[in-house]
Amino acid sequence: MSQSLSAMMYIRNNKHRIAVPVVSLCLCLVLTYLTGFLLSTTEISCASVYLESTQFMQFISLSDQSLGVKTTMDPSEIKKEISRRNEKTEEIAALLAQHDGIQTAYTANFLTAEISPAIGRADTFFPLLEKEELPSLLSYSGAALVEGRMPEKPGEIVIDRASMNNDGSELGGYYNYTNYLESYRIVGILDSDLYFGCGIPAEDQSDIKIIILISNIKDIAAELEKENIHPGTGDMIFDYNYGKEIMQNQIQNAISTSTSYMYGGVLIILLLLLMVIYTMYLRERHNEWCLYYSIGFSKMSIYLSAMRELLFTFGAAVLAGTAVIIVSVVLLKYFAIDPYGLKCRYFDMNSIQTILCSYSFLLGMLQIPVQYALSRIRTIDAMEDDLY
Amino acid sequence: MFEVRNITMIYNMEQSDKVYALSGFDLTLPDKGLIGIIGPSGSGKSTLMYCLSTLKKPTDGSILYNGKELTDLNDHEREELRRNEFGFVFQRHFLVPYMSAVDNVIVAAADHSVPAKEKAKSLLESFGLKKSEYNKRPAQLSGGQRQRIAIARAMINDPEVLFADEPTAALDHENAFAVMSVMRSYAESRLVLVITHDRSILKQADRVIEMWDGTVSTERHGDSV
Repeated sequence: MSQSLSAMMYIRNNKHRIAVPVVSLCLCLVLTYLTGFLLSTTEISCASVYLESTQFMQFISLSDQSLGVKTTMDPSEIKKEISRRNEKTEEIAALLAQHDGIQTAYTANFLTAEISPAIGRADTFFPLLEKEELPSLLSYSGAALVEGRMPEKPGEIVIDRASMNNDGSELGGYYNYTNYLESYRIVGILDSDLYFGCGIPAEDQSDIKIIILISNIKDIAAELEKENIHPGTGDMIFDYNYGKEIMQNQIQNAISTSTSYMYGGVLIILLLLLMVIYTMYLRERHNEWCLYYSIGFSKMSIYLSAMRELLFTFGAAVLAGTAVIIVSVVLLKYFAIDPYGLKCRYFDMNSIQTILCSYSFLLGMLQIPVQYALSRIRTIDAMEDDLY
Repeated sequence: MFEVRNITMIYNMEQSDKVYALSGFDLTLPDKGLIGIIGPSGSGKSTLMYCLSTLKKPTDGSILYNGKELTDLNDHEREELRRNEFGFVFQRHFLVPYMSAVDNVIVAAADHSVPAKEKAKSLLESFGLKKSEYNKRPAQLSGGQRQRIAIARAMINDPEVLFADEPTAALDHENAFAVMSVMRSYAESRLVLVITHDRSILKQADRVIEMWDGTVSTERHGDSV
């Protein structure tokens, strides 16, 4: 006669006891996923700046040495030097514009912008062009004006809503993150998938111009090499390759290292907690298991029953955790991510993998107290022998 | 049903002061009937029950159960036999503390279906438990009630052999006779082995085996009981 021990009997009669590991596992799951979710705002938002934007627009700022301009320390000569720099910059921009894959090259000023996710920040640039050049730039970027108007006067800019929200500024107000203080007024809002903005240089804007390329070329340094310009440490090339390096070295590695330590710490604490609780529970069930064994249930049946109880515990934790995560993600998205113009990843495969690995590890480690308790099972006659 | 030949059980085999719990005797038990095993503490009656029920393996000798040699069975076969053909009432009731009275009975059932639950309730009722006590946990019940639950658990699968070690120890006389009456009825079609110190509860027994110092001293049958 096939017969198995019901796991539900213990669960149904020990709801409070089961609740302790369920809540612990659930909290671990929620903590792990939400940490990954919040950190994804850094990763996705920075990726938008460093990997997506740089696939259609690149910025090049060459040093005097690369431009072949003599650097002066004489204040009276600085204006002349800037003028020479800008002339050389225009020459190089014109040459680069001829390259395959480059749609156009502007020589323009720029506004440094910053996107601040949950952790870290991403610096980007908003081109500052002549009023007439702005429509073509918008057309290249795929952005469209949805509110307000296009810039008409110096110091006016249009930016996408996410950048504006992240900056904490508003339409008609000044763009906050800039060293030009109240120089750049937001006159229009763009609809754009990228963090993007552009405008007309303010009157107090530096005269130094850089090259802004509209292209899908990932390695701009190679294009400069073709013009016999060998970029060095003094040159700034903000292209896909540079963005990828920043993403990998400064963002993904930093996130990966910090989260590894955090997850490791949480896992060890949870493991110790579960081991203590579970060992205590099993000790209380020694007589029960001895009874089962004595009346003919095999140790395997008892083990399988214990495993079903554990799997139920883990399953309940996953269900409860998933519900909490869904609610938390929606609330965070609504109250903490969208209002700050951040981007995020709802379905975080890395976190799910981490959780699955952690749960497998915990389930594996809990075999130790189970196996120990099974090894201590005796038939009741042996227990009664001890009494006499 | 049982053919016991030269059964010997020695404790402390490795030591010089060996204890002969069973010192080589023969015994035959029928397919049905209420058999009482009586004797003082240390006479070997519990050891005999444990050997017959496969919980213990004798040091020497043979136990045939329906023609099957029990001493040759492997662990799995012994577990199967205990689960499917034997029922146990232990000296201490060994109820599961977190389970209700009914759950404690059906924990040993072949399935936990509705009929099993109904049968558990009917057994509890026949042992004098009130309906209001079915869902109480062992800690909320008296010693006698607990023992009756343990007996009901032993009978839930309709075992071929019911082993009962001091089944009425915790019961008053009235309840003890009520329990023995149920066992007596059960013994009409199955074998019931009752180990006890209390000679008075064996009045209805078909046979009483008296043990002394690891061996059978006297056997009484039928009316002579």
